[in-house]
Formats: sequence, structure tokens, C-alpha cells
Amino acid sequence: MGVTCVCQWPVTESRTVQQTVEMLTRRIEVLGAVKTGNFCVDCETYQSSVPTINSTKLVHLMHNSEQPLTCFSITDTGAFLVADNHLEGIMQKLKGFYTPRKSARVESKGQRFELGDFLVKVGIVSIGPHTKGILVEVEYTPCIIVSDCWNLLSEFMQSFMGNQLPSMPTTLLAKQDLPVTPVDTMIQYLEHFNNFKKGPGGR
Amino acid sequence: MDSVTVSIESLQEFQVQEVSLDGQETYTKPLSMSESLAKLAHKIDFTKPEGEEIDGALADEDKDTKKADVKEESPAVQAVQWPWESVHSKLRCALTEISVLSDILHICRWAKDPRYMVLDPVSQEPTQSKQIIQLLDKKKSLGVAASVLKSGANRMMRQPLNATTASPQKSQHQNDFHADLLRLRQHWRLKKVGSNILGDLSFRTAGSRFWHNGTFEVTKITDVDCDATEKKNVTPLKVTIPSDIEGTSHIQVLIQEGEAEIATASLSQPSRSRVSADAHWQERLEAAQTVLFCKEVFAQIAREAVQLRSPVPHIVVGNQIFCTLFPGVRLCLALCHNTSMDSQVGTQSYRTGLKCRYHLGYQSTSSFDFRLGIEPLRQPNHSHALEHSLHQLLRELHRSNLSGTTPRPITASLTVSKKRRLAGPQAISRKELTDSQQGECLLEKVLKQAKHIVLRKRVADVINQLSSDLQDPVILVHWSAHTQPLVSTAKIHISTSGYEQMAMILLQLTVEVDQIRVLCKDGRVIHANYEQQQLKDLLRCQISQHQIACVFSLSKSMNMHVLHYNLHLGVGSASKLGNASSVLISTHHGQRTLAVRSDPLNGIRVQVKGCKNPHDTEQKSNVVTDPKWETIMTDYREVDMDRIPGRTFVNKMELLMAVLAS
Repeated sequence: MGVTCVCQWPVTESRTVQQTVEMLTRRIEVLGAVKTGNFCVDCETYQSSVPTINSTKLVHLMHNSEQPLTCFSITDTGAFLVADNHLEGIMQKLKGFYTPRKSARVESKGQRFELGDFLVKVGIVSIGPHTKGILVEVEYTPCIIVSDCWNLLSEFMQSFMGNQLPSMPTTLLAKQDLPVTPVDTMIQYLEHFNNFKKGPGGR
Repeated sequence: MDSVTVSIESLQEFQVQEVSLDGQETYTKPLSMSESLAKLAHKIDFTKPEGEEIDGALADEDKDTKKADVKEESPAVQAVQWPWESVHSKLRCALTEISVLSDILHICRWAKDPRYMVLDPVSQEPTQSKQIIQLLDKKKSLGVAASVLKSGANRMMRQPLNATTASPQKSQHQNDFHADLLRLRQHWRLKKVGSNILGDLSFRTAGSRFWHNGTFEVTKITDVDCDATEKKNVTPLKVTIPSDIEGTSHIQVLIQEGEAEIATASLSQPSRSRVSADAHWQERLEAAQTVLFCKEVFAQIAREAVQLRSPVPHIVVGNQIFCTLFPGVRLCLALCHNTSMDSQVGTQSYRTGLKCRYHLGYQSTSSFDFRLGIEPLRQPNHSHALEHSLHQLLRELHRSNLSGTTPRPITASLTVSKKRRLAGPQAISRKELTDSQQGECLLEKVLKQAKHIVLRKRVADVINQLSSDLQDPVILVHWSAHTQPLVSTAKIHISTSGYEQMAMILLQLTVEVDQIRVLCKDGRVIHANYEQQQLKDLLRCQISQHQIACVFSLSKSMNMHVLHYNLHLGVGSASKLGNASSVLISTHHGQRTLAVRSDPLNGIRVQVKGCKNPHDTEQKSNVVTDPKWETIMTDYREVDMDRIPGRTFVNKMELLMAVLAS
């Protein structure tokens, strides 16, 4: 598990999502990357059914195919829990307190490429049956300290992203010298999913 | 229209009371509900208690019916008026009695003034115990117990009478058998099946799944001569062990180097220890259990040897398995088994005893021809450590068959291992999961350990040989006391004696299963494989560089100027091994220059410039008198290092520098 950066790739009006993904894939393969399979990151939201004065509390349950046996649960206050897959069963038991939100689950699915020490994942984000956009995840596996390898990572991203280079995500900004864990990636994904849910206006 | 009349007549169910003159029948009216209830209630007798015997109840019932018959006549007139009167009167009597009782209790117990009525306990007369009766009772019970014991004793006394000769030793004989049996039971699991006593030698309860059931039989020797028993200390308990696990056995693990044909490889040698058939049953049973264990170990390894895919396939021949570790190095595992025959017994029985039964169906060989060795040959290559680790690995296998790890919390599912349970919360990636899931079988583990042993021995040999060949830089090696089955570490110090402060080479060796990792002082990591030459070459290169480094630091302390110092020289003829290194030093007065070039293979060459050849006869000119003109046009001349006095090369260099500087 190395330093990971998740960024959104804007879909221009001239192309469809599929075409954009293909274009990105071609660029990555030209660099010499090898396709090593598919990946899927999904998120289900649970809402607390206990009525409180403040706004309702949400719990997001996320899975990552990179860690197949793990279930990440993140609340909107920022607290998180890394647990086994059986956490879903526990949430079922907690039906009285947390009900699954009616909104469909968000997922980012796509292909996984490996180039040396880098791992690139290009995923199409869909909420239910609707596609919303593209998320690109780049990981530099050997290093877990952000400040040591951010320059290298951004340079690598520039090689296939061109000018649309993202700035450092807020989660990584907060953890400059601390080791990075898989939860940080999931928090980044969650932020992007929330942005997609709000709609194109609320970016 | 006339309406049709429909007459409905019910069935005749009632008794005819009277038939009138005109033929009309009057029926007795059926009892209404209340009337039938009254009739039944009439039958209840409230004066009689409920819990009476059945006979009494029946008798009462008869009495009741009789009474009822009698009473029916008398209150027959009154019954019409009030059918519940008897019940009413009975209940009324009961009520009066209860209220009287309640009043009495009230007055006695709870009244404030105890003057009217007081309850006093009635003293009961003590029962007079008749001692005679008690005595008779005890006597009777004791008599019963005594008769039981006596009959048992008579039976035991009677038994030797059934034998051929009745003698006092016989009874002791019987006692010995049971005492022996008790001792046997303390060590081994016995059970009685029918009239036989069977025991269990196998490791089934420890988790083994071997096909052999390992049962032995315990019998009593009945026909024994008295004289025989007197002479030897023979127990009447005889243990019959199945013939295929009788005797002793061990697994021989050899690491063979060099070419050796399989057919002529040393065949199964007799086992290390011998157990004769006359030995005590404990010895024989323990040896038989070891035989069974060794058989299981060998069966497991043989099975794996056939199933494993390796670059050089493993060969299973009879009771031997050959595995290739490195090119030219072979691991030979053999099951050595000998039955409990005495060594003085004739050749034939011994040979048949040693005929191996372990064919395995792959390559079966005919019965081997052994040489009768009275003493088992000591195998110098036999690795006791590997044999022991084989035993340990099988025991681990047994343990894993029995039960897995305890799940925490206890209520979690039993089947998954601890790693799998922790994989979720620790967010283990897919790659790590697949890596950890490939387990290793017994043979692979043993092969790894054997490879490590071979590699370690080779490294030690190389270093020892080199240190005995080269005296000049002293090579010291310290092997770490903490070793693991698959990793060993060693530290090598190379320094010139007397000049340890000048320069020293420090190398850290990590000997693993397939390769050797060498960590140099400057942080370089070099991987060497199983070839001994690679490590030798590496050490040679390091030593040649060390000599130059020594000269370099020596020159600094001798107040010489270093003109050039290069550990990887690019000029001159290329070295066949590694790189040549050199140092160029000039004296403080600048008149003489010393050039040292070290080549790992060709040795060290020292050349000096600025020394006048004494054999050169030149006319001394009167004009040019300054000695510096004489040394200007001199060339480099080689120094014969053998003729310079000094213990080591650095020592010689020190002397040389001192001479040159003067």
C-alpha cells in the first residue's frame, strides 16, 4: 500500500465517457503499462433512523477490490473503521438504528494497470444506472510518506494527464509526514463520490 | 292449494315409563343439564378424604352407590323439591368446622390476651430402642458382606488348583501379571475386546491419519516352567507386536556430493539401535512406536516427492528418496528398519528381516543384498538435525490436523486461521493474500533446510580455505550464535595484523536458502549464489582493494604526499577479475615517487621512480653537481617485494617508504 492520489478527470462535451476512458487507457499503455485486471470501489450509505435535532447522521460503507476482505466504514464526521467483510452483516442487524438510504450505491469500476512501481486505475463512476464521470487513481507502491514522493507522483501523472494535473488532495495535505493507510484512499474516493452526488454544479 | 304437512319424528331414545291402555307410551323425560349435574353432585361424598386407595375408592364407590340407592328412596320426595340439598348440607358442615378451627387459632395465637386459650406442645414418649434388635441387624448385614468377600477369596484360592502344578510361585505369577498389566496401562492405551486385551501404538489421538492401526496384543503366559521362572526374571505378560512394526527404525538423511549412481548408493544400513525379542515390553513398544512414526514420515515424504514439480524430478526407489539440491549435491532420505533379531543369528533370517517392504509402486526393486554388519556403520554425512526436524514437522502436521487456532472472540467461526481473520481489519491486499496462501509441504521444508545447510557449509569452507591460504591480510569470521533454520549470518573482518587502524574490510554475510547476500561497509549489497567460486572471487577483489587502502592510509601517517588514489583503475591492462586499484605516492621532498598497483588475480606490483640505479656507471660531471639533476630522468623501476624485509605487505611498504623518504 503506497501513497495514492485520486483525482477526477473532466469529461469534455465533445466526447463520451467511454471515449475519454479509451483515450486515457491508450495514453497509459503507450507509456508501457501492463493491464493486470479490473478493479471496483463501491460505497453504500446508511442513514441513522434515530431522529436527532441536527441533521441526520450518515455512515458510508465502502469496499475496495484491492483489499478484498476488508470493509471500510466512514461517517460524515470523519471517523472511520476498518473491519472484516462481515461488518455488512452487523449493519443488517442494526436495521433499527441505521437504515440503508434509498439512493443507489455509488461505484467506480474500471481497469487496473501496472507500470513498474506505479499502479494506475481508471474507473467510471456510476450512481445506480447513470454514469457520472471518471476517476483516476495513481499509486506509488514503495513509499508511504507523502512528502517524500509527491513530486515523483505528480511528475508521473503529468506524463499521461498533461496539463490537467491535480493539486494535492486534502487528505494527503493533512498527512504530509505520517504514513499513509488504505483508509486515506477511501476517504478520497468518498469525497469524490459526494461531489458526484451533489451534481455538476456543486464541484 | 293445500299445504303439505311434514311430520318429523325423532328417534326413539328414551325409556318407556308406562304404556297407557290406548297404546300411548310415556317416556321418561331425559335429565336436563342441571338435573344431571345434581345427580352427579349427589354422588360426591364430602366426608370422605380425596387421597384414598383405589380399593378403598372402589369400595367407597360401591358404598356410595348403595347409599345412593338407599337415599334415593328416602329423599326421593325431597329430591324433587331441591336436588342440591345434600351437597348444601355437607358444605355447610364443612364450613362450620373450618370457622370453628379458624376461631380457635385466632384466639390461641393472635389474641392479645392469652388468658383464654393457650397452645401447649404435647410431649411425646421417646421410642425405646431395643439394643438387641440393633445388634441383630448389624450382625446380619456384616454377615452378608463377609460372605461376599469370602466367596471371592475362595475363588481366587481355588484357581491355582486348576493348573497342572500347584506351587506358591504360581500365585505370585498371577500377581505379577496383574501388576505388570497395571504398569502397562500407565504407559499405553489398552482396551478389552472380547477376551483379548489390545493396545494402541498409533498416533491417531495425536492427529495422525496413517493407515496403520498399530494395535498390539497383550497375553498371559500360562505354561511356564517353574525352573525357567526362577532363572530369568520373566514376566508372565507377553506383548505381541505386529511384525511390520517390530524392531527399530530411523530415517537416514544424507547429503551426498559428487556423482553417485543410484543403484550403487549405500542401501539401507541396519538401524542405529537394536532391540532384541527378549527385551522388556516397554523397550519393544517404544521402538515399535518409533518404527510406526518413521514409516509415516517416509510415506508422507514419498508421496510429496512424487507429487511435487521441481526442475530436477525427485526419485523414489524402494525405501530411498533422492532429491537434487544443487547441481552435484543430492539429498538422500532412507528408511532404515531392522527387526529384532539377534546379531548372532544366521544370515538368512537376518536378510529376510531386512527385506524392504516399501515398494510404493513407482519403481520397485528386488530384495537387496546386504552385507552383514554387526555394528551399524557410522554415516559421516548423516544429518541428525534434519532427521530431528523431519520428526518435528510431522508432529506439527499432526497438530494441525487435530484442531486449528482458537478463534477470538470464542463465538467466531472455527474454520478460518488467524491470518485470515486479521486480513479484514488490517486491509491486506490481494497480492499479499495470494502469497500467504501457498503453503509448503513437508518435503519442501526439509529441502530448504538441507539447502541452507549445504550453503552454509560451503561458505564456511571457502572462508576457511582462503584464510589458511592467505596469511597476509588476516581473515577473521564470526558466525552469529542466533541462527534460524533457514538463515544464518556471519561477519568477516579482513585486516593486516599490526595495521588494523589503517584499513579494515567489514563484510556481513547472510546465508539464505538459495543465495548469499554480502553487505559491504559502503552499503553495497552483492548477491552470490551457490557457486563457491563467486564468493572466493569477491573476497579476492576485496582483499586487493584493501591492500591499496592500507597503503593509502599508511602514506598519510608517514607524511607522504598522495598524488593519485583510485580503487577502480581505468588505465593499464584490464584485470580479468574485478578492477585493479592503485595509489601513487611521492615523498615529502618530492624526489621519489612510489606507484603501487594491485590486481585481484595478478597480485601487487610496486614501482619506484627517482632512485638511481647503483649499477649505472655514469661519469660524474664536474659542472652539474646538484644531486637533483641525477634523479630527473630516471624511470620507474620495479621493486622486488620478496627481498624487502617485512612480515606483511604493508609492513614492507612502511619500510620502503621510510627508506625512500630519507
